[in-house]
Amino acid sequence: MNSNNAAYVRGVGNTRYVKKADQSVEALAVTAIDAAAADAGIAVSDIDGIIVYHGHIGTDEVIAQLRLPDVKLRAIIDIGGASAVSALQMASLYVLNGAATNVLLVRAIKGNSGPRKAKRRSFLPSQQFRTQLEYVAGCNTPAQRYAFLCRRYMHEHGLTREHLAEIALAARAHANLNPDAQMYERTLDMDEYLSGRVIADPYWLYDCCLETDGACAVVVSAQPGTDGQRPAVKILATEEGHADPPDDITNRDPFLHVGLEKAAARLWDSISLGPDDMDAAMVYDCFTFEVAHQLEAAGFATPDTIGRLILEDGIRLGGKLPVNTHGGLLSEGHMVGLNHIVEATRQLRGECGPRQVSGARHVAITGWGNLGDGSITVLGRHDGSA
Amino acid sequence: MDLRDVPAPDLEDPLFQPYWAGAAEGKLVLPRCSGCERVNWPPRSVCPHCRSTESAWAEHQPHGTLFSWTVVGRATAPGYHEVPYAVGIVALDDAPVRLMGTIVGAEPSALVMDMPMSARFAPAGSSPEFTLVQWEPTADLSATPTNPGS
Repeated sequence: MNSNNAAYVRGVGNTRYVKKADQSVEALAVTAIDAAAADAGIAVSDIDGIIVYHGHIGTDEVIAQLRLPDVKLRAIIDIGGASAVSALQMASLYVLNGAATNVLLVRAIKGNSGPRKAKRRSFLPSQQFRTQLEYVAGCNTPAQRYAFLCRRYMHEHGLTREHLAEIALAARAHANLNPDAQMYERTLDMDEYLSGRVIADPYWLYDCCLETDGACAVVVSAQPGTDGQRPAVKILATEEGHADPPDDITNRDPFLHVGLEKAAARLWDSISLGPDDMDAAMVYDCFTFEVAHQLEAAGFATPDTIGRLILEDGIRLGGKLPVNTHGGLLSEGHMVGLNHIVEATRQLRGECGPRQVSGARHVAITGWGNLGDGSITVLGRHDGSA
Repeated sequence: MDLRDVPAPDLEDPLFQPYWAGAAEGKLVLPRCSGCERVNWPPRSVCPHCRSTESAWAEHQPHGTLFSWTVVGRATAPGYHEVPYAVGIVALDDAPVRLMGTIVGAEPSALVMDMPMSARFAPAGSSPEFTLVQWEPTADLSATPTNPGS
């Protein structure tokens, strides 16, 4: 969706991301939501729409904890890590159509100290395929499923361990500049990366995202709420897309096709900007390879140039395309990609201190989820009164 | 590979029952759509191509090529306690479908992209009806020593 009458990311907030939080999930959520509302310049009670995700705090819990007086719309978008970016589109539709005024996107979880990923209930589509075909073959995690894609891509397009390593090392270098990041104080070098134990080869330990305790929140509104005092952050366009078929990887044809390709093609067609106009990209980084795959699917590179973009043109601060300047899921924390929206917003406002991308005006954010669902948005900086 | 603790899925699920019954007899049996003749895998109750709800199950040659694989180093799947082990996707030779299964009969480090594979039917779990389809590198009967002259 692209509209001249675009909605805004009006406020963002988060807790620190840690391995073990002392607070409850609800307390973490309240902290992040209070911060996002304050940042948006609204009262918490003005929140009248909520979009959440499975396994994190739910809509009714948010309403109860915050005593929200009149929530008109609530939804779960359930396309895994693609949900957060996709929710920007739903929230935009709500606020532009007048169905709601301030829509809250929130993630709050004890993802590390609570039940771990492999023990949690699966919300994947077509559960029969999972139980009849995958679990019985010893395959039941995203790392294992996506490793099939990674290995085939490496074989077909010449991606190497060095490329995967650089994605992990760049994320860590960025997180070392981000005091809220789970890995703020933990550096990572190539030797340590290479010593990581095998999780699901080609994915080794440092190819895998963190599991995190924490929360973050985003408020979407039709009004920027900035009073001209700081740049507004406009949602210029958002699209989602689905692979063929979306519920099975093994028989997808072409095997490496993902939903983001469709979403990105529609997105770039809908706005007068292209991948080269992006000052940074926040790419859903559940595993290292997914960053490379999505940079290609989103149009930032071709299968022939993706290796060069990562190793030569550069994906670190100062490189051609800074990627995941907060550290991403790999090194900031796993907030299912909502933290990517928080970071993009702060980059566009110039609030990122030592990790600021100088002069950032446009940032793309991607989402990747379930078995290949994709989403993408472009946020733009808008100075002065909107 | 010890498969005794692998939980059996619902072997009577009508969408999969002939597959499991075939595996128990050492046969690779897959559904062919009665409307458009496509082999649909994974099976679906309605053919996405022609809307037919009828399928005929037929035996396939248990041979294919290794399309991709992962080596699991951290045990997560029910019943798979011992790591490392490899799980692969095998592209079948006689139908345009790919099947997921554990890879046996070779060290994970010896696996090569697109290498020929053959099915092996392995009793699993606690039910005598539960047989898993695993894959192993096809024994090459014409193989010669790999380093002739050395």
